[in-house]
Amino acid sequence: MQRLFGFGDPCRFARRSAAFRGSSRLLVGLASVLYFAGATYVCAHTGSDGGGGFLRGFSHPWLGGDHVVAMLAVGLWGAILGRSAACVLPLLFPTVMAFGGALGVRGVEIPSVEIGIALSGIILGGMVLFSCKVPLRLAGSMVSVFAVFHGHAHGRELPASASPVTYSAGFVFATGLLHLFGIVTGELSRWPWGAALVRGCGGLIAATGLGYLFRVI
Amino acid sequence: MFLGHGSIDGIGDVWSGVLHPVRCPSHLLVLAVLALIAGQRSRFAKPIICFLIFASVGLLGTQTPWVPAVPSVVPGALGLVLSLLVVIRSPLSRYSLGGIFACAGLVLGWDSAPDSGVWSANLKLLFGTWIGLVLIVLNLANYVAMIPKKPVVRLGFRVLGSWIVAIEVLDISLKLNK
Repeated sequence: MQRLFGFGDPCRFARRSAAFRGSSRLLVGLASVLYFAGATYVCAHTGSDGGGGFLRGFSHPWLGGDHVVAMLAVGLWGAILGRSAACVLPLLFPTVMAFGGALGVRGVEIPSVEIGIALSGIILGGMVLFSCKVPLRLAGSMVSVFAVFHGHAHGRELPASASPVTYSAGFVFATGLLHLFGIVTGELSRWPWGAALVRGCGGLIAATGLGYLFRVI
Repeated sequence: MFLGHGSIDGIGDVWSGVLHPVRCPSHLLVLAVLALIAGQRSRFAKPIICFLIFASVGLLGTQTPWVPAVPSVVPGALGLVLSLLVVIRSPLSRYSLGGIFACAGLVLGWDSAPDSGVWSANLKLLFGTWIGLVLIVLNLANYVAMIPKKPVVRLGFRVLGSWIVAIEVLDISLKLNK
């Protein structure tokens, strides 16, 4: 127990305390950002359009199973590919997805969006299932292409009455959290049982994508 | 969305002004990105002073009759450009940083026109808004500066920047579609 918590070594304990303080500041900062992002939703008592606020945007990505599994797969695959991919892919996906979303909001048509979404589940799930390691550029390009499809589909569904900034903030935070959940789960692959679990998740994601493909064809 | 431009019932004009940046998420996002840019530099006082001077110019400019209203997409576009700078981690010179902060201050100040109709109330709202801008940008920049500058933290800032890029892109497209 002493070794675990570093009580026996004052220097080590101090280092751990400093690290904890750094983490707690980060958490406080993140909590502040989330609080401020939700500020207008809280102000819904003033008679503004509360229906299109942060929480509505936040709940949107969780409601489509095909989207959820693809975003989880991005995180899982990033964790399998290594530390740099785990950081780059979640950075890339929301940004490119937002551009796809902008196309959807503006009414620009992209052919076979639903098939693209289904393929994203199958291919990304397959990558996780078989632990495929590809160069980061190729992984980034694949994820970007799929992000356009997902973003376009979301963009078409965005309510016109939504309060734009808070809705978008909630939407992007939820997407980022899904990636984070995928990355954290993917980190379990350091252990043999964890690797099996992650590959199992990949298989489930691919199966979900396949089911969705049969439904849309 | 722009309810903060007027007074909030039950609280004073100055306090309404202080809360204005908090109640206006598009301003808050720009302030957060400014804090991310400033806080990652060893000295961030000068750009923030630039920001505050030009914010006061913009705020006072709203009381002149010949200044038109800011188009609603301008703060979003500003936030988009600034957050892209965070994502690509662009090395900015002292002068370009000062220019960017001055421009941001001018836009945020200009976009915070009060509409109470009474000159003295407007002045109190403007003063409160300026205080709110000072408090938020300084606090957030200080939080960013306090966090240890490890590679993973810097990467976290870039991820946050990419999220803000995504938010601003969606925000602009939704506003243009309305």
